[in-house]
Amino acid sequence: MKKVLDTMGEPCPYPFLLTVNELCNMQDGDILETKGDCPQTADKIISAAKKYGIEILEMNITGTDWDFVLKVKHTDILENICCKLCFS
Amino acid sequence: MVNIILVSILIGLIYGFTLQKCQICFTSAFRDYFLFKEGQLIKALLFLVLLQMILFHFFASTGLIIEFDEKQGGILSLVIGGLIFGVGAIFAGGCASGTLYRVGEGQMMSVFALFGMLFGIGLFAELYDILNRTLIQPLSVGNIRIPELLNISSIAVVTIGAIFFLIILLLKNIMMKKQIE
Amino acid sequence: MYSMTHKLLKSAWPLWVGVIIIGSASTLQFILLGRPWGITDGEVNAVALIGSIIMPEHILSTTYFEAFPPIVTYLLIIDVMLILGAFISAVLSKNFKIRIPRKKERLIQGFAGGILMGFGARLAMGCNVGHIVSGIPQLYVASIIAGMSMIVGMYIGTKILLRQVRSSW
Repeated sequence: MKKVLDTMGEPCPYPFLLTVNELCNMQDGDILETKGDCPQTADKIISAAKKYGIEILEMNITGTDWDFVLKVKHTDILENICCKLCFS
Repeated sequence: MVNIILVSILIGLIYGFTLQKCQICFTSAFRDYFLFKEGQLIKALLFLVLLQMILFHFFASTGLIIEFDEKQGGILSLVIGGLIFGVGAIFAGGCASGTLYRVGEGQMMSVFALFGMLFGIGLFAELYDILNRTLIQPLSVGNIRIPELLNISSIAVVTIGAIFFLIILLLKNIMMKKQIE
Repeated sequence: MYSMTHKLLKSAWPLWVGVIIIGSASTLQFILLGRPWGITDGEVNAVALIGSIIMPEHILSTTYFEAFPPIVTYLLIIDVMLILGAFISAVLSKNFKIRIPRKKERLIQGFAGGILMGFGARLAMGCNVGHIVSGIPQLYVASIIAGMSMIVGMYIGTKILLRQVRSSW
């Protein structure tokens, strides 16, 4: 399943929180495309993907806008975060 | 007069430029810590408080800083005001300084938050007389600093404070390492 | 030379560099202008200025504006220049964009949050900058009380935020 999360114009922290929320609610192997223009969020998604063990399939950063295609994988650390935030 | 204007223009530009470059925001710092236990920004802010503590007291002892600011209020007004401010800052997506630099980045929500702040200040000014009687005047904390309260020298307090902050920073490093292991 | 200016003006700076610059600037402001960094004091003057255009008599008769008359103070200049500085920095790093949230409730939410912030900051006699960045380093008891309750307030706010994200999408 592929899902697009469009957070253009949304301020920090919503783009990142909404992305994590989607990751928590999707199945392993699903594809999530998340895009937006919040300045803090692009770096956050990159570092979070590394930390949670989530694969970034595509990454496009042009000027203020960013666009990530992520492959959902419920690693232990992601589960832990979802559980803490009660996202699933 | 002209000097004051020039200095404040320069200092304001430095604040804005640096805040945007480093994305320093109090609300983000605490929010990310509460949500994801990411302590990077909080550590930076603790360091900022420590740095200022040392710089302020150093320049006060050399006489360049002539007198300290005024910070006072009733216990009730400080606690209730602080709580309202904290909730509002999370809602508006930025603290007082964070909102201003986001206005400069073009975030419309922060522009609305800035208007809201001005409106809130106006509201407070309207209600000042009654709030002053009920919350600000009773249980007043005068213009008092820790050294005067405990009757010890500023240098001692700064040293203790510095050690205290360093311990927090070190403890957090150790805890982070444990988490990774 | 090109890469040097590029690094300085266009890419992000490490956090500690920013902290040292802000700390030094605030100390410089304290030495040269007599008061450390604060945001909302200047904004009160801005409110008085705006108010005196709309209803001058009312502003003159409000007690609170006796301490904050409708004039341009250096604290207000610093606030305005802070926005300009952030704008310059954002343009240089190609990060400026008029960002309008798709969800229009965000704008109302921002306005409401702003009202709480402005009101709370004045009730506590200072915002996060006045109390945490400037007040706690001066070791003021009032600032420590206010700073702690601001952090508790942010904790409560974060809980509400999580509930909102869970329910709205």
